[in-house]
Amino acid sequence: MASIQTFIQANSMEEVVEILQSDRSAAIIGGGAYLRLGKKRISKAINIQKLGLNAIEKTQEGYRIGAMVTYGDLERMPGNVFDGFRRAVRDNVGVQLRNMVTVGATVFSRYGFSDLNTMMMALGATVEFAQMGTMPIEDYFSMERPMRDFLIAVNIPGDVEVTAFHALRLTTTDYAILNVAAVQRDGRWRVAVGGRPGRACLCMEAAEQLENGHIYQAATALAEKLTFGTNRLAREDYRKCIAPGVLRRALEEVGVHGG
Amino acid sequence: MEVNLIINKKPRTVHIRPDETLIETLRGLGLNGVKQGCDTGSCGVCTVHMDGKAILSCTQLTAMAEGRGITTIEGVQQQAEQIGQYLVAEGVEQCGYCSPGTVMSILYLESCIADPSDDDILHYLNGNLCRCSGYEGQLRAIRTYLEAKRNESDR
Amino acid sequence: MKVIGKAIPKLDGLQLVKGQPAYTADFTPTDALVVKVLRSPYAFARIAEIHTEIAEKVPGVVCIFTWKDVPRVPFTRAGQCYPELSAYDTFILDKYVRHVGDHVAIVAAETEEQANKALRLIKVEYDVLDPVLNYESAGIHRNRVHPESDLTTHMDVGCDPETNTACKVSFAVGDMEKVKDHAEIVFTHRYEVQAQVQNMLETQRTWTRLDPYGRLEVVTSTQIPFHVRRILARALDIPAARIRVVKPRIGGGFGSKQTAASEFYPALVTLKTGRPAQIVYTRKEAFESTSTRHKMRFNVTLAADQSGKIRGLDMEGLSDTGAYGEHALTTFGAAGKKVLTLYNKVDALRFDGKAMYTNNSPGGAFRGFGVTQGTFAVESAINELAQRLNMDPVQVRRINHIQQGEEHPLYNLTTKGWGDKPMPMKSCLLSQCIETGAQAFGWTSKPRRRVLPNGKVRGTGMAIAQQGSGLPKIDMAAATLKLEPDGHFTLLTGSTDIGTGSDTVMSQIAAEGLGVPMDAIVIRAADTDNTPYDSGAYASSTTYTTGNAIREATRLMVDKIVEVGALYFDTAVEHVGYAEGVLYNTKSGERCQLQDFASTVLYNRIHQQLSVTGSYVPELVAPPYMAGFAEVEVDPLTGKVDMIEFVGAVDCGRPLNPHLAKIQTEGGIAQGVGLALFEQVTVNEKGQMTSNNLMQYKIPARRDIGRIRAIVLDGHDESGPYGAKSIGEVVINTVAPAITEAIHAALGVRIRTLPATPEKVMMALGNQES
Repeated sequence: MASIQTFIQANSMEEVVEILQSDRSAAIIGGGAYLRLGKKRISKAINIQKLGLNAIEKTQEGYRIGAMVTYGDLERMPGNVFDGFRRAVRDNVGVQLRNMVTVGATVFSRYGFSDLNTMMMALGATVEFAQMGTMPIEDYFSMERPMRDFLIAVNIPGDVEVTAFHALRLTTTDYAILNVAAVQRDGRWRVAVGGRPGRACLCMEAAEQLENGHIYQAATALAEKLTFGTNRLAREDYRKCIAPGVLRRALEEVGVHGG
Repeated sequence: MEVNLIINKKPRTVHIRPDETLIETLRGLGLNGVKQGCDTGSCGVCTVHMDGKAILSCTQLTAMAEGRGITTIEGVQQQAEQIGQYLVAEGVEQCGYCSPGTVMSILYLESCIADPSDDDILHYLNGNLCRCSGYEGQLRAIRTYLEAKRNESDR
Repeated sequence: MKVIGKAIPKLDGLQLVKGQPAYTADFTPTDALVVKVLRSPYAFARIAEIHTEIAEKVPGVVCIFTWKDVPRVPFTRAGQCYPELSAYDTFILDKYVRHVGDHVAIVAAETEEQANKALRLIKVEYDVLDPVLNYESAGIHRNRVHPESDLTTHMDVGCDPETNTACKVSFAVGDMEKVKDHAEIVFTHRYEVQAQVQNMLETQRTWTRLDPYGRLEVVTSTQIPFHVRRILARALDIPAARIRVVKPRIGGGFGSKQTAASEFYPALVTLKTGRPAQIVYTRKEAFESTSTRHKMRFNVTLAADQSGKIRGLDMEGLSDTGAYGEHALTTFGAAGKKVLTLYNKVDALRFDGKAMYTNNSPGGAFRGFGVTQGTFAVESAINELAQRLNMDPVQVRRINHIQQGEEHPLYNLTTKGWGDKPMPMKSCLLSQCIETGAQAFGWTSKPRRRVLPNGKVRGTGMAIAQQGSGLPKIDMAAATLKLEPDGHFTLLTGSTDIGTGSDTVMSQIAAEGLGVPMDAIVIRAADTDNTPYDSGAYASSTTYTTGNAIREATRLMVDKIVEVGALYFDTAVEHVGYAEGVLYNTKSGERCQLQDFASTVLYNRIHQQLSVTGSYVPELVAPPYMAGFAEVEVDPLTGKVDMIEFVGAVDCGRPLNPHLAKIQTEGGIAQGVGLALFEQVTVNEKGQMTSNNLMQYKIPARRDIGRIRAIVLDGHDESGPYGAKSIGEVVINTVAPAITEAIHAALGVRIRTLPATPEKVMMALGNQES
């Protein structure tokens, strides 16, 4: 269990930023799901619940998802784009944990095992920070370390044609051994792979093949173009071996079949 | 630090450590129906409701629950008795350790979905592990309970 | 039958569902000290220096104990009757730590925070030793897991610490070499069953206090209260008369609580400080510091004729007992004798092997108790025989399995006190299990392999198994019945309901035998001060062994009622009758309700407490049987195996409570699915468990098991109470071999090392293709 010295109820974004900058061992508390598992010593735990970041707002582009929105909130939203989230988070432990885990903490922490992050990547989400402003999620995910900044919200497009997702996991409540998300928007595809076990990344070649309607080539591209690794859940060669199959299963589930 | 909670509809002010989890607070108040099963948010045994939503009290920081309404099995004794009749009729409470959490999830399912299918039951309860029953009989019991309730409200 | 065979709800069920106080930690004394144990981070080390001075200064810390402060008495934590077959190789605390999670020091403090702080401040210097992690090479490792000179055994079990050998098991029937030389088909394969963790949802926990007489009261989540009393007395070096062990409701056991674990630490603290003390094991401690299913591997050689008749079965095996030899011999022996006895048409059988000490977490008891491991090996081999012969696996069983009324020489060899006389399996319904199960499953109508439009492939498989019902001439039970003034009975039993509903079933037996309704029986169980002796809830013994003791007690009570009834009616005993709660004077025609009789004999005249005790120990084996049928769906793109359905048909004699018997079956199948597909203890090169929590070690959730259908046959065994045999363990045994056979049917790959993870299936598929 992490230890916490004091709790601070934040009243403004500025206050949060100021605390984060002045105290290296201060931390924002999201859903708190991983606090128990670590031994982190947190001097100031910042509660951002009163900053109005628990809403999903319709924007011109699509939706702005506040940092404190939970997986459960996403699951309960109607609409095509949220179908993708439903598929992505459906098997994340249980309904109780999904009512606690926040979008902000997941994206900010860039968890490699995360199913949500893979879907966010495929959607082409942008990440909104209090200081640094907005950046594409792939830029944030390719940075060397997480920002010492306050992630306020994640923006996603609203008009998508297809949101496919499939994860291979040992049991329905386990971490994904590998997950693949594929999103089609204006005829263009974005294909993301997570649980490699590294952070979710895009596969441009697979997206191009999909645009040409070549599902098998797209699937093969995942194995050929991406790098995989070994961890507790599976070995590198196995991940590489099944990546094409996971994409095919993802597309099948949303009725995309092809040659 | 001090936190104000509404526990089973009663306002309570409790002294807590900043890193205290809700289950510690609740069991500390004698609400022993809330059980601890894992230490990783994996088993669902500690399920309670916070503002009507099912959450894991082993993972929820009490400090983050300021002002929230918490419902434990002690706060839903009548419903637990009703659901319990069906679980017990099938013999699927078995050791009973996971039962209070399971009841809290069944109540949450009912609050979210008007007429839950078998798939809904399995989906909403997948986070409630049971090592004794093999689940199949629990599905029978829950299905029968929901049917009986539906018949009751039809009348 | 009034209550036997009825689906009576568990007597405690509703209270448990409602979350009413019932379990150990619901009754913790308010001023109990919090006890924590410092655990070894190393798989094998000698404690060179240990300093507690700084930790002791933490405010609120009451005491800290290291190996220097405790009695050095070797003992075993294994819950077995005395003299135990497990070596005395354990100490409350020792200079050596033999696995990650082994105990180093004990801390007691006013609060958990203070105890945890003190744990961090204990300074330990370890001489880290090269750990013995591989059981195959443990015998030639340069280190001995047990270098101490005071390790003892009660009898020759083949224990040889010099070669890290905990015990040896060897038995044979017939001339195996000759059979191998002459059989038409002979093949050998290696099968391995992983260490599996019981993962009952309530971890081990215990609180202790001194009672007003200065005796140690131990309230604990255990399956073996009487063994715990004896083990604690030895380990703490105090008379058993100074210890009372009480078991409240417990949140599951599955064997994990057949080994003492959490009891020692608070007991020591209370004895030394006089204060109440409690320890609640973390899930990590439950994983690392208690016991798992023994990892075992077997080289099975099967000799058969082209006709499908099995000529010989030869098991050469190895068991990983980890750091301590708890249940090493008994689980390993069971893997042979309760598996090979399924097949009695053979010319030769042989079992040979040993259990090795390693620096892994100890092996122990887990539902199935070695039989699960042995069944996987032998049933897999028999499925491979069917494949070689292109024969239906069901048909191969029909040709070879033991039938009703038949015998097996191995029973004579392995049943204590039985001798050479025949022991026919009078109640064996194995044939019916196979045929009924096959019918319900649709074995003949379903194709063995079916490719779905999406490319996934379904396959079917099956296996058979048995278990025991108690341990003949070893584990006994006693039950006391007391007639109360208003005509109800108090049933005192030492048996341990671990969530199965056995208290309810025991009450049913008492009610039936006394001819009274269920509410006329008040059961009190599992309290060493107040209930008669019972070996405990293990070896599938409660219904059969304790049930028989209660059945005997009811007979004695009826005799007693008649005897005192003669005084009551002032007539001769032969003129008194008793049935259904009424006493009769057959001479005068007088009748008396039990409640009037009870009131009169206690309050008004005669003045006698009617109280009887029945005892029972099994004499013969009364195995329950099961046939299991699995359908799986395998994705050839990923190797993922999804359960579609599992049908289990069980012969448990007469099901005394059909619902509870059915749930035992469904629950056992679900745990078997976990064993077959998901669960495994993984250990890194340093001997650290890398799956020591429920986030990483996956037990099945409800969407992981497909559909389970349990069929409980209506059998009858004349040696059992009202015809009952056991059910608790047999139900897990067929699952893994049936599932791996189904995977083979689907994809043609044979998984011989459990669990059948997607990676293993996929890699096997790759090897097969290349």
